[in-house]
Amino acid sequence: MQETMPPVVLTDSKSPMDLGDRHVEPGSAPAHTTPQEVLEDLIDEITIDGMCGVY
Amino acid sequence: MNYDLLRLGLSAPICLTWEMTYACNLRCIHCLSSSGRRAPGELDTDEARRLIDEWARMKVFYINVGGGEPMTRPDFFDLMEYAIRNGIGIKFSTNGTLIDRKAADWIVSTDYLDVQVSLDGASADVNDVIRGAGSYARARHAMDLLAERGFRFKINSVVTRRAFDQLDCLFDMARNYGAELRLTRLRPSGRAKEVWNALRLTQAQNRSLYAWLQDHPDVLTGDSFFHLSALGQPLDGMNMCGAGRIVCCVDPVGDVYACPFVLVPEFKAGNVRDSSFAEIWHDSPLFVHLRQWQVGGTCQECPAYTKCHGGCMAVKYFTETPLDDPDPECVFKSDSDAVLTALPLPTPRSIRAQKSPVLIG
Amino acid sequence: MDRDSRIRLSTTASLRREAFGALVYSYKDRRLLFIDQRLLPYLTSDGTRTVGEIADSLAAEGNIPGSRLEKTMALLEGLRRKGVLDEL
Repeated sequence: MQETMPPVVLTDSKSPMDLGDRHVEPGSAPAHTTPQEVLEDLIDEITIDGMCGVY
Repeated sequence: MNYDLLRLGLSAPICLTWEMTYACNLRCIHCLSSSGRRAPGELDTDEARRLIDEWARMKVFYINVGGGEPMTRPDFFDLMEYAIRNGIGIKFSTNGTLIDRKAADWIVSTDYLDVQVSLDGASADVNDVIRGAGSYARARHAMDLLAERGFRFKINSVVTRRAFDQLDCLFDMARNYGAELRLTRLRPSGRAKEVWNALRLTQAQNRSLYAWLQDHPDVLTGDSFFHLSALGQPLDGMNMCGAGRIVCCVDPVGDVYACPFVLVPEFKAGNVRDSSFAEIWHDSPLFVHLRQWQVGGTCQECPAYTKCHGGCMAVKYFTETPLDDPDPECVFKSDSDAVLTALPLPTPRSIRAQKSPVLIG
Repeated sequence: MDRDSRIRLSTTASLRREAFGALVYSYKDRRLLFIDQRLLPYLTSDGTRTVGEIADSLAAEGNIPGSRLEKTMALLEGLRRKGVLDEL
């Protein structure tokens, strides 16, 4: 039996969180966002040299 | 990663550039800070330490140290050790001329310290036209000393038209040293304003560079070519302007700027002798404005906008391009090559003799 | 890593809270990570609660990383391998 995925709801969120192209306001459930996608978005690693404004 | 994440402002810069001094024993013709002479009223050692203390309290993770040539400050080693003892990592940028055996030993033995040695060509005839007679040999000597000690440094090269064909040679040089290669964009800042059109890449070279960077994913860029991300798959990095959002710059007299490439009054947020660095970072009108601002105009309609975000503010400023216009080197701009000029270039002065800073301990 | 694991931020990493959660910097290898606030209870743990105990209290609040513990543990294991988290 296929498990029904609950909609994603942000808790204690103070600002829109970057979910790629999807912007989520606190307390709302975005369409087409699976928990797996949310989990993958919870950590974003930036190449430490990957920010402009330093030489 | 996009601007929305940064609108509220970070509690501290992720990193910042500290130009410790404008004194320098070279006179590179493209120097972004027009360095050469020490500015009167440089922050003294105590003031510098207090600034470091504040960065530590704010949990600034690391600082990029440059100048001028930071090693010309007599208290250079003292201040670097002080920062590291207080939990701030150091990445310093140097022309290498003052790295002798003792300095190399210190670098190798100091934790959380990264070094990039500037080199703008894979041969003296290319490099020295920009950085001065003898600068190539002295930089290579510094690299030899560091490599002998097994230290993994970076070679930082500002990519220019004359040096473009040497990218593979630079890559091989770095690999042979066990070093990392870092290529950065020439912006028309400081002295580079006068030579920008003589040195910058053609549009064809920019397109080739993009492909070359995609083929060499280990080459660092400091996110400085994010305008080229519009060509296809974005280059590694945030692909956005970090000025006042992620980074800022503190100059030798304590002026705080949005970015080291815009050391001009319009992009000055304050001075640490008048306000605390924290107040300037959090509340200066300039930084508050930058965090809400993005390039507008026709860029907003461009399908590549999310990849290049309208390009570099500094390049626009120094070419008198409105900030809401596309980057002067926008990959979709057909007439960008029209203003390129032929040589000759000004001749940089040769290396000045310089007392080495005091190595303590 | 499993439900009974106790974790703590590595001594060679620094965590700084931000509006979206936190930035984590690893001094050893110069990594920079943006961490969503929903993972913060794990990254700010002092090791007194197990991963499972943290997850259970989060799940009760409807927090996704709490209710999807297996996948969350994979993320945390990734952070452990990167030297950002230590398992006690």
